[in-house]
Amino acid sequence: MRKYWFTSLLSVSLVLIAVLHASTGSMDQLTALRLNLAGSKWSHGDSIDTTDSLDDTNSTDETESSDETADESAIDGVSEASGADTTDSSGETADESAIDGASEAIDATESSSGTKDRNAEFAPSIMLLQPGQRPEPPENFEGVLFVGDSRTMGLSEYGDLGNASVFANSGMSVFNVLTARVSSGGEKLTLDEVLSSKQYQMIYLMLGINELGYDMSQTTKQYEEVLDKIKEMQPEAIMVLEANLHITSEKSEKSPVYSNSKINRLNQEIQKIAEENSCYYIDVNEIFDDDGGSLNQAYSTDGSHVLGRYYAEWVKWLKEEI
Amino acid sequence: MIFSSLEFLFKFLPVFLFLYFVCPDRAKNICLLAGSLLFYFYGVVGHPAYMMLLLLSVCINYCIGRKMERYKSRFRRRKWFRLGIAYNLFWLILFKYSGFLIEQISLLLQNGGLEKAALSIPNLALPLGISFYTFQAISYLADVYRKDVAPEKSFLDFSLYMTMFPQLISGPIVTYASLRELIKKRVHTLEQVEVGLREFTIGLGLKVLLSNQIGGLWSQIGAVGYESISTPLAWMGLAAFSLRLYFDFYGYSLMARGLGRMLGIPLPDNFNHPYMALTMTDFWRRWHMTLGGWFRNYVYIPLGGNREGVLKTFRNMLVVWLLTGVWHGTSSNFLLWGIVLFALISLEKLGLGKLLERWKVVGHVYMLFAIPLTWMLFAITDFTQLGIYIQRLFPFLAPAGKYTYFARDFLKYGRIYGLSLCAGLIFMTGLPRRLYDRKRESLCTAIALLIIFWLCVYCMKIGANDPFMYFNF
Repeated sequence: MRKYWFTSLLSVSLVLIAVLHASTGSMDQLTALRLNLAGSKWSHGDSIDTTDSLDDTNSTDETESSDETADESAIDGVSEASGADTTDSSGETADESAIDGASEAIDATESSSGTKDRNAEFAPSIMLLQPGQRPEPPENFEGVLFVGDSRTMGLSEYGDLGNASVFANSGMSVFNVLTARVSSGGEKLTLDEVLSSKQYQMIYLMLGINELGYDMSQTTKQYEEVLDKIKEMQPEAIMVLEANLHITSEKSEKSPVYSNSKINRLNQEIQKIAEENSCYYIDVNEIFDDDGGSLNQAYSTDGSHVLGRYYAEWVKWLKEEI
Repeated sequence: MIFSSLEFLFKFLPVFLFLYFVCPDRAKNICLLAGSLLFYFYGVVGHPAYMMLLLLSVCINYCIGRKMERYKSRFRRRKWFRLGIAYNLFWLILFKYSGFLIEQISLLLQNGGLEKAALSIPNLALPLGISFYTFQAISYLADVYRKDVAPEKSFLDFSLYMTMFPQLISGPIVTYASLRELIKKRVHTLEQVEVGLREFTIGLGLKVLLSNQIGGLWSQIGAVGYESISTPLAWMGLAAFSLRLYFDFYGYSLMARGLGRMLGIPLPDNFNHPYMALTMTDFWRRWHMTLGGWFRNYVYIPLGGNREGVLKTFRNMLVVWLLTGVWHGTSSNFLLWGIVLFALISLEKLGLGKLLERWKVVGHVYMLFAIPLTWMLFAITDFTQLGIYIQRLFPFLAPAGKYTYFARDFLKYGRIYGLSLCAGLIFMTGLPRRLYDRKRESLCTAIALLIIFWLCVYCMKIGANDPFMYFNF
C-alpha cells in the first residue's frame, strides 16, 4: 500500500468528487458562478486567445487571483476588487495585492487654492457642447480625479496625468468601486475617503468593461448609484462619463460576453445616464477605432488595452490637443 | 486536446486507461493505437486532411522500410531511402516553410525590380505534431538504411511507434530501436502506474501552476508595448519568458513521460536542469535532449561530425544550428537565433568553454545573460520590435528621452509576479527534485502531489484556454 499512496489517494479523491458531483450537481453551479466572476474581471493581462502560441498565456494570471477570491466572492455574491493582475500564489490575499498593484495609481496631490474660482471657469455647459466635443480639463489636471479600471490605470501609468488623482485598479467595476481600497503611499483609501479628502473640480469616470458579464440593467442601475454617490459627495465637480474603449474585432468575435456590440449598448446607456444627469459624455473610441468600429488592431496586442504609448495619445485627446 | 485540459484529464484519459488495462495483453497495442488515433483526430478536428496525412505518413514510411529490406544493393536501398526522406520533408516544408519561402522570394523579386511580383502567401495551419512525427519517421528510415535496426514487419507495431499519443504531438523524439522491444512486449504493474501518475502530476503542476503564472508577465509586457517598459521590467520580462518556456516544455515532457510510464513504455528524459548549465554547449545537452540527439545522429555525424578537420567541424555545426533554428520557427528571427547559438558554441569550442567550466561562478554569470538573451531572439519575431527591446534592455544604446515609460512598472509587476518568478528560480535548480526523491515514499509527498493535482484542475476550470506553447512546432 505504502508504495501506491498517490494512486490510492487520487482514486479516492476522484471517486469522492464524482459522487459529490452526481449527488448534488452543485459543483457545476458553483463553478459556473466562479467562471462568471472570473470572467467578469478585466485586467491588463486579461486573457486573449491569441492564435500565436508564443505570445499567449496571459489569461493565467487571472486564474490564480480568482482562485483565491472566488470562494469568498461566490459566497458573497459580490465580485471582490481583486485585480486579475494578481499572481502570487501565497501569502497576500489577492484582494490586497490587487490594491498594492494599484499603489501607483493614486497621486494624492494638494488641492489647489481658489477652487471656487476655477470652478466657475469650468462650469458645466452641457447644453453648449456639441457631439464629439470634450470639456477642457484644468491646467496640468489640477484638481482632477480619475475613477476607473485597468484602462484608467494605463492612463495614469503611461500617459501624463500631471497632478490628477487616480482611483483605479484592474478589475474595478461599478459593483466594487464603492468598497474597493486603493492604496496611496501605504495608506489604503476607499473612494468615499478619496472623495471626502478634498474638493475636486472635475471627475472622470470610466467603468463598465468588467461588468459585461452581468445583466445590463443591473449594471446601469448600479452605475447610476455610483454616479449619484460621487455627485452627492462632490456636487461642485464637473462629471465626465467616459465611454468604454472598444476591443479589437478579433477579440470581440471570440467571446460572447465581451463583444463590441455589448460595449456599444453599454456606452449608449452611459450616454443616456450622462444626459439625464447633466454630465459630460466623451467617447475615446473616435481616435482608436478602425473602420469597422472596433479597436484598431495596430494599437493593441492583447485586444483589450491600447499599447502604452497610445495612452499618451489618449491624454492628449482628453486635453483637446488632438 | 492537450494534456493539461479537462477533456483530457477527465474524459479521454480515464476512459482510455480503463479500456487499456482491462484489455487482454495481446489486444493492448490495438487499444493504444485506437486511443492514439482518436486523440489525434480530436486534436485536428476541423482538418480531417491532417488525420489522413498522418495515416499516409505511417503507411508510406512503413512501406519504404519494407522496400529497403528487400533490396540488397546499396544503390537500390539508397534510392528508396532518399525517396522516403524527400516524402517526409516535403510535407514539413510545405506546411512549415512555404509561407516564409514565398515571402522571401517575392521580396527578392521585388528588390530585383519586379514590382508586381508579390506572390500570394498560402496560409496553411500547421498539422499538429508534424515536426515531431516527421523527425521520428526520418530517424526510422535512417536507422533502417544504416541497418541499425531491422525494418518493422508488423504494421500495427510501426503505427504505434509513429502515433503513440503520449509523444505524438510534442515528443520526446524517440528512435525505433529504443521502443521496439517495449512495443512488442512489456509488463504492466501498479508500481508503474503510481510512478507515471506522479510524474504526470509533477509535469502538470509545472505547466499549470508555474509556467502559466509566470507567462502572464511576458504577455503583459506585450500588451503594454516594448517601448513603454522600464529597463528592470525588460529584464524581468526576459526572465519570465525563459522560465515560462522551460516549465512549459519541461512540464509537458514530464506529462508525456508519466503517461508512457503508466502504459509500461518508459520514454527518454528530455530535460536535465538546463538552466544550471555552465556553457551553451552544456545547455543544449540538457535542453530538449531528444531533439539534440536527433540532430547529432542524423545530421551532424552523417556530415562527418568532428572527424574531418576543424573547418568541416564548424561547417557541420553551422548546419546543425541553422536547422535547429528553422525547426523551431519559420520567421527569420529563428535563423538569427540559430546563428547566435552557433557563434556562442563555436567560441566555447575554441577555449571559452574550458574557462567557464573551470570557474563555475563565471560560467553561471555568463549563462545568466546568454540564456535570456538568446531566448529573446527566439521570442520576438519582428526585428523592429527586437531592436526596441534591446534598447530597453540596454538603455545606453538609445538616445536619451527616446522612450517614455512608466518608471516604477517593475515594482508593480514585481509585486504581482515576484513570488512565481522566485518559485521558478527555485524549481529550475535540481533541489526540489532531490528533495522529492528523498521523500518519495512518505505519505506527505503523496498528499502534496494530490493538492497540486486538484489545484491544477481548479486553475484549468476557471482559467481560459492556454494552448501549449510548443504545439506550433
